[in-house]
Amino acid sequence: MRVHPRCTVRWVGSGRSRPSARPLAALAGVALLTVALSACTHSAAPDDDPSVVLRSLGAVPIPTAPSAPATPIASEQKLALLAIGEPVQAQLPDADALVTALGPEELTPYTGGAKPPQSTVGIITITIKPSRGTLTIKASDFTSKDETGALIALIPVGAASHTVTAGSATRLQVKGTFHSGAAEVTWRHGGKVVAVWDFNIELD
Amino acid sequence: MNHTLTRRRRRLLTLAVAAAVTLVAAAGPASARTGGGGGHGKYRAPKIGHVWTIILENKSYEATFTGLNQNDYLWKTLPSYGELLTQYYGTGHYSLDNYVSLVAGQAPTPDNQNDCPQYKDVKPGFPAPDGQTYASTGCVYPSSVKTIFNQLDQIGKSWKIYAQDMGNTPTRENAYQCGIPGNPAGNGVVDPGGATPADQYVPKHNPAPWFHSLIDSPRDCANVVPLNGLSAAKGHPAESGLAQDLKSIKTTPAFSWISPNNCSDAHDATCAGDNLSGDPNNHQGGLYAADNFLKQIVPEIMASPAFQKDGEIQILFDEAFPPYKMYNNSIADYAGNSDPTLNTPTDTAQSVVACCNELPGPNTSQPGFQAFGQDTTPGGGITGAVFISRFIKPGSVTDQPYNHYSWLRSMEDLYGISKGGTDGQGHLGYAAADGLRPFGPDVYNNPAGRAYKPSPTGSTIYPASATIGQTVNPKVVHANIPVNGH
Repeated sequence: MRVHPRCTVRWVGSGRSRPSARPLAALAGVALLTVALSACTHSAAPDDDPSVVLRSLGAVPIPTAPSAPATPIASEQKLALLAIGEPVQAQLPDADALVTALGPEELTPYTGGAKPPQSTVGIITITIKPSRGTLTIKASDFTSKDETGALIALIPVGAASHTVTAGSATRLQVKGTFHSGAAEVTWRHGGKVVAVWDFNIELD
Repeated sequence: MNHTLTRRRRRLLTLAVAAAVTLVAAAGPASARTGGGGGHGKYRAPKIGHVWTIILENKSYEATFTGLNQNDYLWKTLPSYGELLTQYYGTGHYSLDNYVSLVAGQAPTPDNQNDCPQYKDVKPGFPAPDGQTYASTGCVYPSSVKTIFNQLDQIGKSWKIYAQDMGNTPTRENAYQCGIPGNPAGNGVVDPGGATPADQYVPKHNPAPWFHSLIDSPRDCANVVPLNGLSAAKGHPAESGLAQDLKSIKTTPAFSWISPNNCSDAHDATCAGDNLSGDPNNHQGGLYAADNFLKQIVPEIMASPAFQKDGEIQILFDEAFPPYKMYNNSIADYAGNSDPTLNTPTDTAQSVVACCNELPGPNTSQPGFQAFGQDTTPGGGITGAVFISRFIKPGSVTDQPYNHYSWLRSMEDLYGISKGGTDGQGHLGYAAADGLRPFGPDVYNNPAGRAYKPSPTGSTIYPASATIGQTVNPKVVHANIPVNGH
């Protein structure tokens, strides 16, 4: 291993001392050794060469992106808590389907000017892709609450009910008036909660 | 045994010890010499030579670091490689005032806390006490107001601001002049910009356009570039982007500020354009999009020679939006506001919106802008932050409160800026506030720089301390494990 010249440690002192002088001499020596090690640690490498640091202190591990998590599975017996945009594999009595809630997409985003609005009308889009059976999904299956627990009324945009069979896909849209802050949208099937997606509303 | 030293020998040893102590002091980094009543006593930060500050948008600590959102990379992965600062605070609402506080120590003003509805010069622009500036209208500070970037110029340290998407649509902003949306003189520019599908850059998230001390300097504006670089134009040479600059230590600026676009910074819940997911039909924003950005850029920086040698990555947020439920008392249900519309369940107590004796400054009594029912107190809420460096133990957590002014003071100290400023010791504006605490040994808790394997968040926990000089004993839950062979 190449030792950088500035990492060379020299003991500075008389080299010989009477035993009675050793405690103080050792203190001085430790301090000087600290000087040398400090210089080695902090500034041993040439300006454009990290190799000395890497050899003496090791390479800092680099995080890789976590592998994509498996799609959560939900059922009428076991609901899933999800971040908005996250798909869920719903296993229902009449169908299996991949369901995702996206949004809310603001109808009139704030683009500057006056003070940001306190609320906005936004659209939540539900995508449904059954892999087994036939699934009927209705706007009334979805409810929304904000962080204070207040209900946010959801109104269908377009058809209020969709029926889709395995191998095809559809989407349902609902709109509501959302305030700045946190909220969630809940999906029920057969009156039972299957999935809850949470999200934040940004209005500035 | 005779323990009595001769006078001569005692004097020689005394001189040796004194010389050694002097050498220790001299050999240490020229950084973080705290003074003026603000530091950690005689504490000096390790010699960090390169810093990358990545600024994200509008999330509370709870939104980002408790699993409420789809952001495992920032919530779980990155803190296990560095440190989570659980009580890092914004200084105001909404965005822009936080950026101004960060880089110049200026307190919020009526216009910049409203994200500058009209891009125009500050008026009257006279100096105010504590390094502040009287600014009843406007948001572009006169050239007398300096920033950390001007300070770095003065000491010959290199810096760059990388702004994602800046200049994608050249008619929206001038990428060759610090990303300004137009001329701030006179009536300036109305509505200086939101994101578009082709260009999600917004000036309010770039700290440069708001200071004449930068925008009037072609040399400084050459340091403000799009994330992927800038092609040559008449009178302007090409400028390299982040990836190219990271290739060698010589080409890596000592300080890099990274402003992701309005999607990648978690601002937009639904992005106007690309969210780096690889799916052109996926426009999911928020922390999901920020994770996409961080997954690309953090490993890229960490693989660079400059980072491996002596670098530090800082991931900050400008301000916190609700939910604020971390400390239970955050929803204060305060009902004493004179304006009854503020007596809402989302009222927030001062303890969760400001720290570090933040002052409102001379221009507005409400830096919190009464956002989200916030009472008439300063502050931008707890956002949390993540730092990664070989000088920080993986998986550590500090509960010590810090805010944007602390950040500025810390950076000034880190780079050895020790002259000028508001206090004559290199600190601008409220970064010079007496008693303000820079990042201390609870943050730079691995001064030797030995590399350790990632460790679960909370492996080492530093409780907050009331006073600067107080010794803090961290709670070690999992001992850090050195990387192989070290």
